[in-house]
Amino acid sequence: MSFTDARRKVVEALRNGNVFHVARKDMEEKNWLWARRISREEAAAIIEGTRGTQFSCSPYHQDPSVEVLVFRPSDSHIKCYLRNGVWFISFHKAGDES
Amino acid sequence: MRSIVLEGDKVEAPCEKCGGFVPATWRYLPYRLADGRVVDDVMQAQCDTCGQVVAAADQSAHLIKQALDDRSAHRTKVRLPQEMLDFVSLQLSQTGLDATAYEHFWHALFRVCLDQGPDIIAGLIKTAEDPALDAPRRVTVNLSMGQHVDALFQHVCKLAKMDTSKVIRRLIVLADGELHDKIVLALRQFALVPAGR
Repeated sequence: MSFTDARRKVVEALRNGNVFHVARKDMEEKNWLWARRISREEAAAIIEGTRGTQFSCSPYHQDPSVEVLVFRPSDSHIKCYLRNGVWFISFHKAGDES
Repeated sequence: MRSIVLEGDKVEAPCEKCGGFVPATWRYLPYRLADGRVVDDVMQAQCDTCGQVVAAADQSAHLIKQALDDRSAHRTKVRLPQEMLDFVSLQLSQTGLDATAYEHFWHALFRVCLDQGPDIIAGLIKTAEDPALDAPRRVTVNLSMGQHVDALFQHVCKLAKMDTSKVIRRLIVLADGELHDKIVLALRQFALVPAGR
């Protein structure tokens, strides 16, 4: 997926509320969106402000047919993937991506 | 309902145990926080094969935030005359709220108090002679404030040279006087009653 498409679709998903969270240990400590330390609108605005150089796209390790989109604005790490029309998005502070 | 997940809905989510994306079913389940506390009724998807929780619905994020906020909230106990608690209940019921939903009253009281800025100090001092302040303090109430409100409120206490309990009691006196209209307005926002009704 191109950077422009990815950014538009993820922002749209955040604004529409079409967002789910992958279950991880201590996810409320690591995923700022799940803990609502950041709102969906704030997350969307941060992604809107990212540049192409802050974006990468790679196959999901357990299912190569799924693309993992990663936005890395200055102090954040946002990981997203789409499966059957559902977006899984996690929003981490840089250095706390695990 | 289109914007929320219903119990029994299906999703495909990555399962660490089974590997890859698996069919999963949404259910309201307890959610264990890293500090060991449990949040009930969080919408989570369980892997249909192994039963492991594989995803959480964004609609439940507010419960997690609330639990995390509770952890950082400052709690304090305040002794009040029964008459003051009766006044609080009366204000709540007159605004269409549950007469025991005290937290709404405290919230309104803090909001109005902090909105007054430095003027609140003079108001607190003026109440000194009110006879309600001399009534026996028979009841104990628990107050919970977020970190930000607590910091501002402690600043008010410091400026007024009074402890928290004294400030709360005097604010209740003001809520029955010069702050009454503002308190009612703030309470109405909880009751969703249009102002002026």
